[in-house]
Amino acid sequence: MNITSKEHRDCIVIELSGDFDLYSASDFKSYFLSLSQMYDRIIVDLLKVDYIDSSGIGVLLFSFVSTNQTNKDITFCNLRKTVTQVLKLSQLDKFLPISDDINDAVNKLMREERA
Amino acid sequence: MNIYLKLLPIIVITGLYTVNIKKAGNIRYYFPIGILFTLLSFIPGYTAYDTVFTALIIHILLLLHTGKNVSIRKILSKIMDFNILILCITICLIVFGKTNLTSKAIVIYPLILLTLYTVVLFCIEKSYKYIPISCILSLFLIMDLLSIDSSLVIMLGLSYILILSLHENRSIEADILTINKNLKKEVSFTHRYFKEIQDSIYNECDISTIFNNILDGVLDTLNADSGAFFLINNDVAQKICSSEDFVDMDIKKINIKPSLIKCTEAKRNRSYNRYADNMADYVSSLIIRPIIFSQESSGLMILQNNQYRKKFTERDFNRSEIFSTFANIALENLEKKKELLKKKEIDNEIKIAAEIQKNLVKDTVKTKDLSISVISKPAEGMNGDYFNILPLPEGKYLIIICDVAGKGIPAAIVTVIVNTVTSIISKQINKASTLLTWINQALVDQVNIERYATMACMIIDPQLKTITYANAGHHPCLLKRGKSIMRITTEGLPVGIVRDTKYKNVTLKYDKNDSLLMYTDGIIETMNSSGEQYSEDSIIQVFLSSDNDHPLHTVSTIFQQTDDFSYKGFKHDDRTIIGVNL
Repeated sequence: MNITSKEHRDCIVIELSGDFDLYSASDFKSYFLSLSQMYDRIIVDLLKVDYIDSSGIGVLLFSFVSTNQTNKDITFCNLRKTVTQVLKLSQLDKFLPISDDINDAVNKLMREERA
Repeated sequence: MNIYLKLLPIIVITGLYTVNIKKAGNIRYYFPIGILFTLLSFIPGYTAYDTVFTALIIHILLLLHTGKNVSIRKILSKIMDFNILILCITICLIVFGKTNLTSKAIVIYPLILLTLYTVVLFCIEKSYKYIPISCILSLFLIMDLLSIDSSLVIMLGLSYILILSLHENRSIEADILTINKNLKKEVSFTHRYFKEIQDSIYNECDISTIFNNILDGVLDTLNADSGAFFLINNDVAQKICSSEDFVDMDIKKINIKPSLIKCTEAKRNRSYNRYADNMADYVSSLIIRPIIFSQESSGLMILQNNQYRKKFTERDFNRSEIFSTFANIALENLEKKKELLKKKEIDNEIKIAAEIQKNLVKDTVKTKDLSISVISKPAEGMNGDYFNILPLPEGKYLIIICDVAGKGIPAAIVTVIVNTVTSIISKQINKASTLLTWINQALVDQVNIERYATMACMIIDPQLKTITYANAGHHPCLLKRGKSIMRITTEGLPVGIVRDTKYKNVTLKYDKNDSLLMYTDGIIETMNSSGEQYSEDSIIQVFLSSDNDHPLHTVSTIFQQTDDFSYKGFKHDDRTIIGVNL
């Protein structure tokens, strides 16, 4: 899996592409940990992720819970159908903060900030 | 005479000569050239001076040609042979009265060259072989100048050249034979020696024994007096083995380049001859070679000569590289072997752990009311899937299926926690959801969130003919009634994520001949070469087509299908499937 990031209107967008499985989960985790120290608003863009397994979801859960604990915000956006299906099956689609696209994600994070 | 005609022989002879040089160092190749020169002298108007001139031009051309492929020494030696030939021809011409006295000049020219080459060759090669002929020719010149009959001297000179050429041919052949023999001996020695070392690596892991063997070999091959191997640990060189007479050295600079010190006396202040006053610790010559392991110098091979003025040669130095390279290979193999042994140990432990894990649950439970079959296969080693079938009070049965995120040992540890909680509280629960709540609370905060688990619990009551089912983010349970499939599920997050998750129950009546299937995602996510997944539809198809015989048939068919469906080299996830005929 390829991991890149860019800043977008006060948020950091982590873009993932490729299969999100056991082997790439630890890559994402260390990438996330290093970035989450510097940014308060994190968007994870899953546009190019075709496949996610339980390890991948495990790391998404980890990133969500750890940002919550440090009073930061995170949202996941641009989920493909395959990814949504996996999340739906394990009933995590309502638990994880999911946005439609980048703009929606930014709006959500900004709104939460104001609130 | 036309100048072009005079140039023609120069071109022809140069061409011939160049070809000959490249061919071989055999004197008979010069005979055509000699004949050509002789013929040249018979051309009317072609004076002896012209012959000298031709020879001179050829020499210059040859010298210009030198240095591309052939060594200067080789060229010098060839020119020398050529020169002698011209000289002989000229002398013959004088003897047979073909040329007049002016030809003495012709003799002088090659003579000067010859003397020059004799000196040069003596300096480079320590070769004495041209000294007699120089003397003979000088004698001839002096005798000729003094008008003394010199035909005997000429005959002497000619026979010497003949003997020289014959001897040279023979000695080259003999040389080649000896070299061949030595090479053969060396190759077979090296082969045997390397094999021995390789064997010692296989048989034992002791580094000093292996390096001692290598050291013996290198000392033997290079005829060195003593030597040692050092390994570098945390920037400190540690001696791992040395021969008896090795003179200890302070190794301060670790990154030592390969070096050959022929004579240590010139460098009195160096550490290796600080004991030079004491003859027992005398080092006369030294070879130092680093052992490069993964692009860092990880050790040193040091060879010493301790006898007065016994020196290593460039050849010794070059040959020593084979041994330092081999030491490196041995080191690498040793590391790999250690790793392999360690891995084998870990693999063995995993095998034992997997066996223990497998024995925690029984995959067949004999009941008079139900028939239940389970197949659970880990991706590798330990299983991240968990299932259990437990009899409860009042003739009820509890069936659990659980899939911990990830796989291998970390996931397997979580299944052990789930098993422990299950076996402690299963006797006291009435509702399937209670078990999920307990397990969830046992996992949240105790286990990293990445090791969350999806699971489903089912209590079957054969007397009331009811199923109570609770789901924590797992795949729905499939219920087959006649020719229709029903998906049973309830709301609830996987366990191990949120402490106060509430789980719900669904209870339904079942008919006789209904059957159930529960599975983990390793089954449906099996992939073929086109990237398609096995999917729930395939399970349903098998499920529908199976008769209501034993569920083992259904679960093994599905399992077999996933094996056949997957592309070659596909890494399966942990796979579990449970079938129940009610």
